Amino acid sequence: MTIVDPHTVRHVARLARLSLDESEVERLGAEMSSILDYFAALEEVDVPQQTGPTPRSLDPVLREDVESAERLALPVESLAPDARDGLIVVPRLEALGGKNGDS
Amino acid sequence: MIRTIDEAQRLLAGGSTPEELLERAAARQAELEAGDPALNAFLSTIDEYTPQESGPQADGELEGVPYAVKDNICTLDLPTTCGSLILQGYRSPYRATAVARLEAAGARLFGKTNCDEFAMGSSTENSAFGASRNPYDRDRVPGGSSGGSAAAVAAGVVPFALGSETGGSVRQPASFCGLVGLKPSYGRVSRYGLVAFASSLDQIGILTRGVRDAGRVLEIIAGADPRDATCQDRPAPRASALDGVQLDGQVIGVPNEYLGLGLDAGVRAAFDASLAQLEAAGAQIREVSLPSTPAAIPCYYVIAPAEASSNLARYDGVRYGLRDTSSSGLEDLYSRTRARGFGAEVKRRIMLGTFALSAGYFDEFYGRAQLVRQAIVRDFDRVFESEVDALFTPTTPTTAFRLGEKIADPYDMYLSDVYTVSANLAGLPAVSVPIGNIGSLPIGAQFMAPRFGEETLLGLALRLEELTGYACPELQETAA
Amino acid sequence: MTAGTPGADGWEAVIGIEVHVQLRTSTKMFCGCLAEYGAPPNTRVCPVCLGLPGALPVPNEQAVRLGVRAALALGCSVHATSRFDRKNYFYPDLPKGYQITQFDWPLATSGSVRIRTGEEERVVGVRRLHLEEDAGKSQHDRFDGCTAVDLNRAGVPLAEIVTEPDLRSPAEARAYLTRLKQLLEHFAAVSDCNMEEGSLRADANLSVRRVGSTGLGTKTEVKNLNSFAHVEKALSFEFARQVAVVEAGDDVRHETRLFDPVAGETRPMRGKEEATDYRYFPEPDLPLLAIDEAVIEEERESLPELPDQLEARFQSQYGFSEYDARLLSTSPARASYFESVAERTGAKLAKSAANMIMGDLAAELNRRGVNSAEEQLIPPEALARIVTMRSEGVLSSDTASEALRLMFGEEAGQDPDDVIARHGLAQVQDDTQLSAWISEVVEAHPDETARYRGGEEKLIGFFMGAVMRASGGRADPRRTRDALRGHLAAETET
Repeated sequence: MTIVDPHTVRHVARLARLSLDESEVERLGAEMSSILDYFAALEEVDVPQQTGPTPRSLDPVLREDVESAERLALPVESLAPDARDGLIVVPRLEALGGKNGDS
Repeated sequence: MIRTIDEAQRLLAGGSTPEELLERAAARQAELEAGDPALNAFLSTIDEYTPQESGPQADGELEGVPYAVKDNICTLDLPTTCGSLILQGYRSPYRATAVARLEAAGARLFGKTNCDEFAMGSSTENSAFGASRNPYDRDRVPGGSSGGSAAAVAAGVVPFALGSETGGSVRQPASFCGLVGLKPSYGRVSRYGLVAFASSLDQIGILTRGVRDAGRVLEIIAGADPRDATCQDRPAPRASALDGVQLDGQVIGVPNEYLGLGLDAGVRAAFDASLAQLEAAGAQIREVSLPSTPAAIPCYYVIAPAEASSNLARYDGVRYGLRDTSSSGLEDLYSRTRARGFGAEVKRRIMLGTFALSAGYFDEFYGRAQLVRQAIVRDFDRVFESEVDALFTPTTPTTAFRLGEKIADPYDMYLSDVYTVSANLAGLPAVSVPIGNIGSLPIGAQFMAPRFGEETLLGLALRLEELTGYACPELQETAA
Repeated sequence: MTAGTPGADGWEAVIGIEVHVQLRTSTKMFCGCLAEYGAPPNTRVCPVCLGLPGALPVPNEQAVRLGVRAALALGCSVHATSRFDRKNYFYPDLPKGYQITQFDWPLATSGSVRIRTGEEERVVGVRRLHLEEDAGKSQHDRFDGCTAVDLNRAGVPLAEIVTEPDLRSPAEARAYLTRLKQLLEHFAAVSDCNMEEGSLRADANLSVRRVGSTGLGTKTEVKNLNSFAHVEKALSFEFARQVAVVEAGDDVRHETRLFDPVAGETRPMRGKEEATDYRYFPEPDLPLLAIDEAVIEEERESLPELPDQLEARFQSQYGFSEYDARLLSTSPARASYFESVAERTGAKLAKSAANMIMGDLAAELNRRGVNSAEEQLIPPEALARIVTMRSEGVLSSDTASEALRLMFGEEAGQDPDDVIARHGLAQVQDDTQLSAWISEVVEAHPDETARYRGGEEKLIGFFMGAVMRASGGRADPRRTRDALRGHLAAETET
């Protein structure tokens, strides 16, 4: 039985880049713990031995090294929330000295 | 109402223009939205019907036939939001292969349908833009995640709609709304332009009133696509082949593991009655065992969230979609944008999936689930190789449940996929067909066939449809 | 002893290198956008490499082939089945929030590269070679407080090549990179390996241990290595730093450090304190990567003879030193040029041909700043003719060089015999002409003549030079020396 404690919830939320308030941390911890309980059924199945990469019954598909005709209906600048001089702009990483990204 | 492709084509042959059909769809849609509560099947609709130039394909198979597309499939003409705030107003600069093929066949997009956010849900209650309702009982859910597509077809706005399946998201709403819901084999229909939830399970599906229509649409959208490496180079199943499939001599398996698991007595009775009809028509019914079945839901709810946690990482506020502008730095922007943009169920699954892939838990959860998935595939391989031509089971354990009934208990909601997830895990084609009703509520049963066995699958479904005589109840309009 | 490291007696470095090379394809790894360097920002992008909702990757067949080819050139086993995986992390120039790479089942494993530093030879194990996609580029100083992202590079195909921790000094690290570049750029021809444009990038990890010990210390990773010289400098610094840390009784911290080429030192990277968890898992958008045995054989057969084989063969076939053999084997073009010359001169003159290629020809190419194959400038027939005439005494070393220079310039494309005749470069064998030049010189320098005759015999060098000048370099030196000695002595006797 796996208990997802608040420390683990915060760690996972950090990996997933989700900011959670304390009530969410508590609720998600409880929900995840109870869902993981059901996952014990995974242990009850007789599974095959694994020696190589998990097989997938798909024929390989490769593409030729030629430029494709696919063109965007819109330029990147019209999609991005902030773009200048053709570049997509975001606030700097905090570690690199980020500040308010409004401009 | 436009109930079938044939009906639409009769109107067109009788002199109606494609634009008039779109207007007819709009009128029906307006009527449904005026209801209290509104059906809320659509997130956006085309509001200007400019006649399209008749191109070289003016005699396309679906020339002028209106249709709807689930809002997690990219179209050029309307936004593609996936029912999420994070993509509110997002317009795709390209369109999905399936949509391009329908447009090449002359079909006309009427609107984008509501769905659970990023297709995560079984009731369409997880849409950021409000739940859709079941046209048969507006206090109940239409199922999900393709609930908007099911509601739109069931209510007669359009004769067919595209949905998407990851764990039953076409078959379950089809079953709740009295429709045919087809999930093709994994690799049958290009996923290019289908916004990914869980890439190894996702497949575009089709919602129609009858089996023939599903076959016609499948023939158009199926087949290899150089833009999807998992889409296989196989000839598209032919709609014309369905009539060649006879029940006589077919061996149809009923997995005994599917007849427990919270199966409602009324659903069971309807299922048994259909089984008897199939047998009476010459099919041989055989009880089989798929012993890994009890692990299918846990397996699915490890693999799908794990893939989703990665697939949804791109919604980071950098290149498109929602961006939180109050952030002081990039990390803050990521976390706040995603916290604001994603709803509760999406967050829950991202958390679950990130956890299942994280150091220290990977082997116990993701690694183990991959092995269980292989065991599930092996179960199906065994019965299809040596015992049966197809499998037949209820689609869902119950009929449509009430709004709010399961939303508080995530795992209870997950269990409504108990009969459907295995086909996704094994990549099999499956189709749900209406087989009767309990009161006003439709009941569905599904066939599953070996991979790429769509012609047999749909042939059997068509025979059942003939036996039950389009078993979905007449739509009782709730007070407008 | 570790060559090229600062004083650190009793310690040795344990170094492993990770190299990313951009594969020479027209389009990106998983989409049809052009893989071009230097296009305006965000103009070589499509739904796939922008990570738009619903877009899917499809692997580039040519990138796979080039990966196979690179692996074969490094002596790796190429696996019939390998797999793409996702490496999950957030960064603004990583559009999908994950990089498609190969983790558990790489394209190829277990290769080796032979290197030499001074007199020492070492075989460096290549642990693995795998395919992956590049990220875009982030500029952190373009706009105040912001990062600006260009995704033209996002999705460009890379091969990542990881060594075993087999290198024992910064000089060996450099020698490995030099050899790797030679193999990938010139032999496998899979990449242009241009460090300035980032088509070859190297990261290193280093730990230290007592000579003779077999354990491994805590390693640091060193990044921002923009040239082979930087690699050597950064690792030398890092080696000395770690030795000092350990000798002071402290522990080396496992960390990533950036090389500052201006200060010549490595420093801990900012903002990387958090332990990363990349949550690798199989890329569900892609089938397993299956490589036909036929493709592997095709690539193997189309590879030129590799430098190790060339070197061994040149030593045994022509009796060359290891050094000469290595210089002639730096590229297939040079090796085959040498062989076409040697074929025409005959094996006896192979060494003279080699000397001329590595001496005069290399100097001339260098002077002209040309890089292209020697062959295009001086046909092997012409060089063979010059080598032969030199061996027959028709040309002196000076006139041979002069002939070569002329044939690079005004006489390009001309027959060497005509060039030599037209410019009077052939050594003069005619004794009458030689006597005339000698008489002229002796008469012009009566003082030196008297001193020579007085016993100052070292002045023979002075007379030799004067005669050579008078002859325009055409006097045969041996004949001239003999005749000069005779001429000066004869006068003494009379």
